[in-house]
Amino acid sequence: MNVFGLGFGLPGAVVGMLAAFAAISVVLIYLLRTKPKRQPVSNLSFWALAAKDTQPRLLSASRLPWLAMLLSLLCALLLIAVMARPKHVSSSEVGLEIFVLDAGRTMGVHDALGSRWTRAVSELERRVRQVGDGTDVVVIAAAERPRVVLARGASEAELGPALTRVEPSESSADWQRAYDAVMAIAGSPDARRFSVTLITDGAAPASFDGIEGMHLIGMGAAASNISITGFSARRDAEAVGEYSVFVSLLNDASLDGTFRLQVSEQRSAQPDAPAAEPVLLFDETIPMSAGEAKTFTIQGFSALESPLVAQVSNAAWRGTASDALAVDDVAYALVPALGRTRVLLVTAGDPYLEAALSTHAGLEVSVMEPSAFSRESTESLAVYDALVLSNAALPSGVSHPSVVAFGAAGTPLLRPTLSAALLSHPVLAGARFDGVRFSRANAIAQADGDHALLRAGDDAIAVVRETETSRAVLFGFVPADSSLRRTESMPLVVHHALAYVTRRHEQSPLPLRLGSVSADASGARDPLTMHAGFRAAASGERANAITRVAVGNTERAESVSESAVATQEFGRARGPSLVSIAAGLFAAVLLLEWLLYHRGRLA
Amino acid sequence: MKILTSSLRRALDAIRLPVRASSTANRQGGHRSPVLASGVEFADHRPYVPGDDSRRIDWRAYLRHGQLTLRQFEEERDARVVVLLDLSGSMIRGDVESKLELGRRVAAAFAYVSLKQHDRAIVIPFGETLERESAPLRAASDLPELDRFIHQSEAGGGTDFLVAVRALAENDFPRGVVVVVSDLMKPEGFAEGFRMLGALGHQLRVVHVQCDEDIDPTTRGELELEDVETGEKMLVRATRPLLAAYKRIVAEHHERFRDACVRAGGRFATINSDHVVDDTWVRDVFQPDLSRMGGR
Repeated sequence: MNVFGLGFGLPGAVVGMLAAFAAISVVLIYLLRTKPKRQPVSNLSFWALAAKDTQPRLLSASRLPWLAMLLSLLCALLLIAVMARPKHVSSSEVGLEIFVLDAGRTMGVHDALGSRWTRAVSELERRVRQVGDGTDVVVIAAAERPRVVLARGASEAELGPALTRVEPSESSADWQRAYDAVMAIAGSPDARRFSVTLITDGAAPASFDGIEGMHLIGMGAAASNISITGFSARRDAEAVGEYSVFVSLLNDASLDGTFRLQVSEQRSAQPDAPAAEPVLLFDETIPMSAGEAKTFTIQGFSALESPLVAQVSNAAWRGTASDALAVDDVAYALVPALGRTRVLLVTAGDPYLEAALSTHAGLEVSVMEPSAFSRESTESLAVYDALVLSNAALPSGVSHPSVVAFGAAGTPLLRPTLSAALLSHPVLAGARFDGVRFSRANAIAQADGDHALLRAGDDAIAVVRETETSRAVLFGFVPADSSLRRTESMPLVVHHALAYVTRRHEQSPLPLRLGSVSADASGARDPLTMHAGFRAAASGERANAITRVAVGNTERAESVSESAVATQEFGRARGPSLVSIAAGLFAAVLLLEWLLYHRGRLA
Repeated sequence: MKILTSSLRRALDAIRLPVRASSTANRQGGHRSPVLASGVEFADHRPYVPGDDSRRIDWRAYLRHGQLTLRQFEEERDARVVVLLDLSGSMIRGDVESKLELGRRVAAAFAYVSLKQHDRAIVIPFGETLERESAPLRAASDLPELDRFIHQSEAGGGTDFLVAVRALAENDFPRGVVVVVSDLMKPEGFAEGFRMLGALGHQLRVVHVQCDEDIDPTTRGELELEDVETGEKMLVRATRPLLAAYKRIVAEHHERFRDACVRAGGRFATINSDHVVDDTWVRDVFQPDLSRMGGR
């Protein structure tokens, strides 16, 4: 026969003392409050009649205070009993108590109360000691790979040495595997009844939702933490070589604070180049109010591949100065190198065109005389991404898929006046032609499918020609014949024309977050590993794990309240805890009794 | 300090206490009496019968009617004024002035007014029964004795007005004016006593001396009430409903006493010891008498 009793997590003497204290307090409250004030009166008869007139008729007035006191006493004792962590004690059934200790990375955090891990281990040992005889204990450390620290049937004395071999891992706990381990142990035939106690620094994982009667011991602390919640960079499509860096900071604390944010560019990305000093893009001390999030946009310029590092330091909060988590104070991003475009400029000498091409950091320009160009073949020109021709034409029988031609052949026009511009075309995007004059130009004969970019009356002086295999932008003038050479639109038009004919667009890399793997297409190179501070993140998988830790800690810090700092235990029930129910009952009884007195319902 | 101060006496000098003819005594005095005799106020004629005093034959009527007719006159007699002063323990209550102090002055005032109109007044304290009465007040020289007597009357003990009235009846006091000065702070006895006094033929005047504590208590909370007359104690939580019920019950009882007084042919006046200013209470107590005289 199974005999169930009631035991307490707290020692019996402590429970008894608390209960006695509560009982004496309640009785004293009732005794003290009955001390009346003396009042002489002319005649008591009228008071007696009035008291009789207002006497309650539903309940006995003389017994109700005693009943209220009894109820208050019961509620107070219930409150004490619940606070003493009651538990069932079975005398015959073999019980099983499974403790799951969170050994994730964040358990190593040192918060206001010290190390979470140390506290968790102490709490675990204390609870294991309290487990009564006849109940087996299993301790599982939930890390990247859960492992059994104290096996079933092992002596309690083995726990201490076993725990010394466990420490917070480099990654977060794999709760699903921990749950599987729990169920594998609890599913053994001789364990008909078991309970699970989870010691962690956050909310209970969803995978444990199915376990009835689980206890969760919170180890989290509402820490003050400054974190880089977002760090990315992308090249500016409008300005060649420039890139924008976006840094998001979150003051995840209940206090205002100031923080020093530094963003630097590492210019040692080229393996064969000597290490250079980092270029500091941003270095400011930023005040942030409690819970505030800020995003900064920083401009940089480099055509080369640019690893970026954002780091927060000198965190100072009012009243406290310790940052709970250091791993989210640094973040890395990578701006890829500007795509290189090999361009062959065929000209007998066009300084304006050469100057326009030289402003583009992503271009690798080769210059060739027209006489030499006439000897080139299709195969020899294939090494170039684009051809820029100035008063030159492709040799007969030679083709190239990407051609930008200035001074293209056509009907000569003297001082043509620009009458229309197809500004919606990508080649002319952003360019302005106000006041642009032409001394001369050629009217280009349009073929089917051509788009006239610039018109002088009915004549097209700039045309885009596109086939399935080639693109060509034909300008019927050379820069020297136009005032366009003196405007800022000149290099823009050249850039857009090259981008159009080569079908290449500026790279706008997606944000690279902490731990992102940014190897090149072959996967042979992981530029992030080139930074000394990131060598620990040798593999992409590991780096991603760190990412999860950093973000997970931020989320957890928002959800763990101050009250959960200590080893507060609460059940798995979604509703209010028994402690709050008992306390509410106690308060309700006192309030009801007080109201009855003051409403005159009690004598 | 004299109870009857000079200012109070000046206020009282203008007052005359009316006495019903049926309540007069047998000595010559200033009040009309039901006895037709040798007074000065003509009352009626009646036929002469042998043995009548021939000096009262109306000879002018005989000459006109040829019949002997006697002229009858009302005899003016004095009145006995008995002032019953409540000396129960509850009379010591009062905030500004105790009910007893005010009651003493009221009693002395009635005695003084009676003296001024040549009536014989006595003051009889009462508590649970009648106490020792004062010497009859006949002349102004008796006022110091009255003052001393009233000053020596201390309050204490319970109240039983009905017993006091019965004792008054047993002492065979002649019919007259009975003035009751009391706080009426007892539910039973007063209404019955008033009815009995009316039935005995006394002209009843009731002066209800009250204080705020009796009619409008404001102290709230848990109280241990102590009856100042009996020492009895009672625990109550003085809540708003309880205080309201108390006020209502006290008011109902006082209204019942007033009704009993009026039904006994008496007059009822109420004064509050916590609200008296100088001698203004005189107007409240003697208001009917002042009205009859056309005001002061």
